[in-house]
Amino acid sequence: MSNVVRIAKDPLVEQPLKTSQATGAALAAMGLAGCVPLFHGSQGCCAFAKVYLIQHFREPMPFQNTAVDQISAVMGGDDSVVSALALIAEKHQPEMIMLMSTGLTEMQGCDLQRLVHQFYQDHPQFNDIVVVAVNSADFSGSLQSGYAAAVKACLEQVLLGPRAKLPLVRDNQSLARDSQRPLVTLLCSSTYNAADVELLQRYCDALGLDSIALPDLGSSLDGHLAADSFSPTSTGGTGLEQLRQLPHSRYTLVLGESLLDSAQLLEREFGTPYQAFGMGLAGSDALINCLCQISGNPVPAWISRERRRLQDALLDTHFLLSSAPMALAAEPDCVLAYSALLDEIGVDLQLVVTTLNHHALKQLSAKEVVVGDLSALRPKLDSVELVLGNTHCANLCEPAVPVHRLGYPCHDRFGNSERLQLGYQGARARLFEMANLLKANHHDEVPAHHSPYRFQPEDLSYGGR
Amino acid sequence: MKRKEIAELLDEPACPDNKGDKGGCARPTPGATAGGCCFDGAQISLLPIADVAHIVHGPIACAGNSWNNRGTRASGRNLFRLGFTTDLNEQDVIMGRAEKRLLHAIKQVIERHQPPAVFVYMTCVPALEGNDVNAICKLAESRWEIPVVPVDAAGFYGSKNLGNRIAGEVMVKHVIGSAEPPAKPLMQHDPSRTVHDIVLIGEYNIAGEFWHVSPLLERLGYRVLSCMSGDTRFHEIQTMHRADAAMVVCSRAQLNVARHLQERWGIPWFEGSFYGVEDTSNALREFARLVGDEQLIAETEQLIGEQEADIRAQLAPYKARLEGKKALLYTGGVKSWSVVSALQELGIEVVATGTRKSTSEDKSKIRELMGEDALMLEQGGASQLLGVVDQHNADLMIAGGRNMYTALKARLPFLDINQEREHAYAGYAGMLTFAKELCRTLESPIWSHVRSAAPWEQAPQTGVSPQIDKAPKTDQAKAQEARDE
Repeated sequence: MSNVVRIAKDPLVEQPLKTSQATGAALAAMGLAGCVPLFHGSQGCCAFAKVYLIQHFREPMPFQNTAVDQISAVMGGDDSVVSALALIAEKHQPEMIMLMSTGLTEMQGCDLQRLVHQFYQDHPQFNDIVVVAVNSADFSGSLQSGYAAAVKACLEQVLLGPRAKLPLVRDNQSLARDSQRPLVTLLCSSTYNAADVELLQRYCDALGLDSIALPDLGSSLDGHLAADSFSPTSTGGTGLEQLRQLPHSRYTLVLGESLLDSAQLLEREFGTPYQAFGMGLAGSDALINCLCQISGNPVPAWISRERRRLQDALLDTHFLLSSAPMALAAEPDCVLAYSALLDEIGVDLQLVVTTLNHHALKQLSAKEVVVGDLSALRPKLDSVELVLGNTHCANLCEPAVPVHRLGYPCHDRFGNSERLQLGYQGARARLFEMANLLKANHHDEVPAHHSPYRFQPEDLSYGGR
Repeated sequence: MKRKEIAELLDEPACPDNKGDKGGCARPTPGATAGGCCFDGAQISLLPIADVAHIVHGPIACAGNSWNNRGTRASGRNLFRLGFTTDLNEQDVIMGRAEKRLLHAIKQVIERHQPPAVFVYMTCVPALEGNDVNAICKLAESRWEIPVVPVDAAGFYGSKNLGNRIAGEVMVKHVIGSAEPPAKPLMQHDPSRTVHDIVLIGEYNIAGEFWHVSPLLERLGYRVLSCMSGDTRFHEIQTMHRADAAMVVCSRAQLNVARHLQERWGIPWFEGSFYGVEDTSNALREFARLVGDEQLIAETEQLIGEQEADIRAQLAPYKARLEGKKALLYTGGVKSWSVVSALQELGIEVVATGTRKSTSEDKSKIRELMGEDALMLEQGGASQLLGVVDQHNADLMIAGGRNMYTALKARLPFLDINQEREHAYAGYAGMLTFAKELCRTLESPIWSHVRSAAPWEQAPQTGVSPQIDKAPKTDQAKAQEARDE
């Protein structure tokens, strides 16, 4: 089925669904071990992203910024980048710094790569700190594309390019892996959270595969207490050591279309084949089947059982979900993943609102696809029974229409990292949550009818006629 | 309750199956029985009397497992949705304190909730103990001056059907006829005439489905004195004896009430159903015929004409989608034929119907609808039902909630028509919901997924292997076409 994707061109955006690329890049950086995300922009660029993610995760976000002020805005902020990098390197000794541009600095036309080079030249003592620079202009893309850009920048700058020749990286070439098990790379886009990454790793492990997730939100933004009371960097995430093992990987599993670029890079440079997977029964089947073929190991019984449990959940929930009219508002990766699941149970997807155009949007079963803002939902509120979207979506729709939370931000919910979506378990959890929301919002089908002919107890007479 | 009284109840002259040797209802077979007990039957019959305080006198299982789990809906006061019980504990049983506890329970419920009446349901434990519930109720009634009605229907007395009947008997003995309704008001649409009074017996207003019908009754100038029992209140039950006509909706359960109404108060009655367009129209016709008002008969025909044309137009697209599908119906009593006709109106072929709780009259109606060789299932074990599905290539199963998982586990589309459901299928409007829900399950894309084997596994063994090869894609495609139109 082919759809017309309507790209909203209104001069005014009323209820934005998307947010900036730098926020996405910073989120990806939080999935790298010992990393400090550094915004090259004005203080606000950083502060807003920080509050946004803190509210969503209820976790501290060790974000830094170059505090572009009036003078550096006009005269150029290059010096402040180098000095910020040096200060952070000296003060916090991070393993990595993710240097991100913003609208302001992209507008200036700043050359982040040159600045990083300059930093290493000026401060050779910090040569073992890896600085990854990512162009994350606010005026293009969205959180999802910023996240994807950060992942790609990470691969390009850690595994390839001039700094890949640094001593540490050369060590890596001789770094023999201890494990005899085949290694796979997991690229999870911003749609997925800690619980999803953990489940993928569990699947890999069960099939006798080692896995490295990039980024690894599963070990960083899973909502844990670290041993130290304060950390100036991310706590947990993909370590540099792990990153440098990626060339040994036998296969790249891509979760989220936005990371296909990165997977293609790995294929081009290291000959690692890749495949993209999504949500739902078919998506999970393909995933497990792929893992099975890589490892040559049989699928353990518990995974087969999880599959059967999902089938049972499909049966149980289809009475509510099949042909239930819904709307979905999320980033394209999330839309594509969820719509596969929604199609499996036969949801009548009336409207998809998303942030960026994508060629696959045309293939969606949704009746209407809009690249625009949440206000596109408004006319649909009378005709849908459930909306899938973020907190802003909930403010718009609830209590009239219940909202299944997904995407960013979901600051009105606890446990956002635990919203399992991938695999058989994730699909099952989503089905139950949607069905429960419909159930909780169920109204009696027939309005009570009270005939005017009915009478009250005081109208009765006693003693017979 | 004495054995003699039970025997009398089992002997129901109005029941066509009432043949001397069998003593009316069949006894349950230990180890091979599904369905509820006598208490269950009594409770579900009366519970929808919404403003009464229903106290279950017994240990927790009886009320704890069953309270507020019915689909019945009532407007106004919903006291029946609380789960009053004496929750007898070990000490109560050993020390014989159950009766005292009951008296205190009645006091508490009256003081806290001021119900117009209290019903006390006997259960197995106090019955075995020999509690004199009648005496306690009498005492409570004189002390607090509201009706306190004992419903002596402990589980072991017999089947759920017997419980329905006991409940009816209790109403006839203690409640019906204890007050007079206000004089008949004038019809709102025709002030030259007064309304006709009618009652319904065995209509439970599941999911509010009677509210699809009651506006039609109102339009025709009927005053529903009471619907026993769904969206009704105690004082309305009291006046049932003044009806001009009665309709028995759920066939076997409470024929005794209709018979008593006829014997004692000369009220004519008929058995009918509100499932399906035809049956709904027939029920309206029957009422008009029994009341015998010529103008009413004409108005009824007019209303039927309008309603049928309207609903048939609305059903047409669904009928196109459902035409030719095959269903196995497994339910009891009146639904064993009334749902058949509803399904046939949608173009669905019924391959077999369950008759475990059907009367011989029900069965003859089934033959009328499905032909002489209609397949009737007396026994409804899971494997037998699935065998029939298999043999006849049925597309879906329609049954009560208890058989729901039989169908689902066999990866078979299913429609729930039990009393716990949330969908209202009665009347003309209910038929549309019925069709929609049938489409929902039949056209769901899940069937290919739930029948699929994991890529690394052999095909799963299911009870309905031929189903796996059916192409649900065509259903999907059809649904899509219908949606596109």
